[in-house]
Amino acid sequence: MKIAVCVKEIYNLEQVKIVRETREPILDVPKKLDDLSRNALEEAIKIREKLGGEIVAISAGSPELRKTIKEALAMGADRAAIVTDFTESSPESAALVLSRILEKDSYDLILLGDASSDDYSGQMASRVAETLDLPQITFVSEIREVSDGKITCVRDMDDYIEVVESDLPCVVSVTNEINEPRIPALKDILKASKKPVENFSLQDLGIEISRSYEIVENLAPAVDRKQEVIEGEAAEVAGKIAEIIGREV
Amino acid sequence: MSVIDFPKNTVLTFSEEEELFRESVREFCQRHIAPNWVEVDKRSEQNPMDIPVDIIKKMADQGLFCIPCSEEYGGQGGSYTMATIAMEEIAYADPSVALAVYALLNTGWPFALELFGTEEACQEIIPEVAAGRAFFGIASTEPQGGSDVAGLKTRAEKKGDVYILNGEKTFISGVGEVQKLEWGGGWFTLARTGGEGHRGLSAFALLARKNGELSDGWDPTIYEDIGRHGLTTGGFRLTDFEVDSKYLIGEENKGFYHVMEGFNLARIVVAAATIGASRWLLEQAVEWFRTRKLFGRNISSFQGVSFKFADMYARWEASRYFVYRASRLADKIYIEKDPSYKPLDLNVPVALAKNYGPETCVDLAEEVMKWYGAYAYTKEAPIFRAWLGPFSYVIGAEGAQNIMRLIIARDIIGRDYLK
Repeated sequence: MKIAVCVKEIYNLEQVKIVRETREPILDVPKKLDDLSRNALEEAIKIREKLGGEIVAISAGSPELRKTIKEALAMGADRAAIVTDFTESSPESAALVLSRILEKDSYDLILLGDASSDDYSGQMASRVAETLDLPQITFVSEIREVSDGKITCVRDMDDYIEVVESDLPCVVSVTNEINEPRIPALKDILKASKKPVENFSLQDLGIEISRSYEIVENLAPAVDRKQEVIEGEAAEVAGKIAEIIGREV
Repeated sequence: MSVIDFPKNTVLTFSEEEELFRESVREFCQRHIAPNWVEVDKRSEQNPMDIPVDIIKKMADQGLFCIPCSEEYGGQGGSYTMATIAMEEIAYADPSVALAVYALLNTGWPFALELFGTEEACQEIIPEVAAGRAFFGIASTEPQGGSDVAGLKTRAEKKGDVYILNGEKTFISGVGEVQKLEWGGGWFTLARTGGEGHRGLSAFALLARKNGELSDGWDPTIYEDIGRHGLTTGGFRLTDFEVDSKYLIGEENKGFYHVMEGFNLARIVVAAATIGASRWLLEQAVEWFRTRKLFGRNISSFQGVSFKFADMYARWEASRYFVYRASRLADKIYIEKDPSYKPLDLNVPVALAKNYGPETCVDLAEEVMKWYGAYAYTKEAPIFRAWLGPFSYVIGAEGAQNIMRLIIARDIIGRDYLK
């Protein structure tokens, strides 16, 4: 079983600060592997533990990706194929780059996160599947079985679930309910630096990036707090609080 | 989200692997330790033998013990700086420092065993410690005192292939753990095989329990500590306790030197734990400053508060430099085996780290409690746990503070001028 896992580097959102006056984010923070990418990778590792095979981490990003991809290798990917001169973040160009890398090899299964924690467009699985002309299963909260050239997945549709079977190769995008990603131990981290990383440029892949849209503004949402002060005896205040909660929630 | 925006640093820098390791330890700790440390401290205060075995097992699975030990002994094959990073992060998640101290003892002393012990002892003990099935710490203090190591009285008589030990050890970490963990464990210990003074001492790996069976002649007592409850402290009496000669560490009558090298290694990670706890305390302070108002102003708008905070922050940064300077030096000596550096080169850097780290942490905890006011004097606010735990290292665990000062003064001024 040869599995490709498309992973994404994102800013460490926990460290992003917002300028109070302008609401602009300060993006001078380290990058990390997106959480849902780690869910996808964890699922790939579980499949490899059962069926054997190889996991290749695929990614496109900034030069910093050379460092970030080590997280995927430390978690358990056997090798990586990456593009590090990709500074655009539009879903269509990212899907094109990932697809071109994927075309360089043949995979039984392509896994990825349902969306990424930064812009959460949720388009990647469908765009990659469409570009590669492969079947796709999205919103997967459980991979029930992988055998005999087929995969059976449970799709979480909020109000109901679907059990879907597809032929392999197939593109599968997972939700965060699917597993708890492992945290790499020191031994895994030390091994990661020795694993092969194939580094392509956009030129190698014959891709010229063009924008189909422009980001006009990227600001944190304005939050107006009501800041209501309630005064009086405890019982009276409690009653008023209960009334407000009933009205607002 | 980090509460404090720490200034960028181009002097104290870490490799990509070290950064990744720090992130992984931090994530592990936030998942398994930070949500539980207060409960662990409370439970073990009620019953010292309520040892957090489940967390110890998870830490072992994550590879947080025996970090610099060789992979052939089940260690992690990392550097001493990696161990230092891990201890800083564990203590940040558990500022009572109990779990960090468990991890650091089971990193520093198995590594000292690997440096000086027999192949057989290493093969037997280190894999069990790394897997969280055994404890291996240090037992040198005796009822007459801990600082006068050269004066200790426990005797070891050689009879054929075994040494017979008689004596008593006090204020020893892990007396409960060796009884409770699956395999057991023991300590890097010292006993007198020769005449008076430090040249008559030999080091042994003393196993109070192995393969789940208690050894004869080992009579333990568990103490009730005032803090750091998640790790037991106790003492034990040795009565005709047999130690196989394979457990002799290094040469007979050279044990003092081996244990001093072990202390240097352990003190680095002790200091690392206190800078981790201090980071937690600094964040508690800053969070409080950002919300607490008095006389219609932020309390940190009073210079009596903010200037003191600035002083404590400076001491914390200085402690951190001392700690990582010592760990990098330990890597040169013991991991890279660079012949330009000798074990004695560690004395002053380690003494600086061990002296400054714990004192900064305890002084900071006291200040944070004062900034918090009466709330900090209740058990609802956990700050006092980050005061009482690290205080054990100001009292003298792993080397008394004035012994650290003595080492610094002796090596900087010159031994002859201190007589």
